[in-house]
Amino acid sequence: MNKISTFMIACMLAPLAMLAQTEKNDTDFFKALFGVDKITIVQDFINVNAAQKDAFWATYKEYEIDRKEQRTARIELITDYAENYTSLTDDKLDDLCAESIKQKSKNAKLIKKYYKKLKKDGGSKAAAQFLQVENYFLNLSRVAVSENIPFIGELDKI
Amino acid sequence: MKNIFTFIIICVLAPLAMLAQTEKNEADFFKATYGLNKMDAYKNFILVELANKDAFWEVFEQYESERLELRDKKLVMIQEYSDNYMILDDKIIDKLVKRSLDLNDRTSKLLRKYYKKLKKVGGSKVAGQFVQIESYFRSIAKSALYESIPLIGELDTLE
Repeated sequence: MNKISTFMIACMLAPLAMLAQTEKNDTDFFKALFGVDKITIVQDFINVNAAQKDAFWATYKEYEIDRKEQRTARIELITDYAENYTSLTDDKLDDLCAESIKQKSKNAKLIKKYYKKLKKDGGSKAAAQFLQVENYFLNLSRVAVSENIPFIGELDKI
Repeated sequence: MKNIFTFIIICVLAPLAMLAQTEKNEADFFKATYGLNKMDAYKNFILVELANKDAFWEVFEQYESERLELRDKKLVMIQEYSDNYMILDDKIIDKLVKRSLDLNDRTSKLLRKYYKKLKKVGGSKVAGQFVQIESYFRSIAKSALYESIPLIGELDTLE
């Protein structure tokens, strides 16, 4: 019976590992959802004046590099959670929660930092568009992760 | 011709006003989506030990009352965005963005503050569940909002 439960839990955790793999590839995530890669959507949506275009998109590229670093850290956190899911102790939960809260705060700070930079480069409207579209993508991806992982204690009943 | 564009823009903005109305009544949202109100949905998910139950849910209620205050401020902001959408200039955009960033900060701080409080009264596991479920519903609400409103400049091509 114990073996069957372990097998069922392993099956339920499998999508989490797959999700972490898919999330590693940003292009796949956006192509699956929108049919095109992220930069195509963002460049199509944000309207920057011709005179400010080069500076704006150069700063945006810097943002993408920083964002991808944070994304890597997030994938490591998800993997850590998956690997320890069946043996989560209070100490481990505290560490994971603290790291998750820290990462969310860093995400918010990064978007705010680049909002200010992009406002200087491309004006209020383009910077606000950046804020809206980035927050939308960030929340979409958070919902996708939450819906693909078992919550703490969700599998206890098995 | 301009009247037609104005009519189309008003039609696109209408769901935004409706969303603000619907969001006012959270019970409707939870009942429609999960067949339960928020408190019952949470009590089904977060399993607090009997001895900690009263203290835990009492602190949770304090959290809810503070969260709803921030939520009301957000609804006022969405309404202002909707009312000003057709005349958004840099000054209005800057003001709305500043308020939006400030509200996001305050919501995140509130979650952190109550994570610590709930951990004290209920332990690590239930406090972790609280962070997970709150973050999940927050992301769903935000995604739904972005999908229901025209983003800045989205309707410019109609003019």
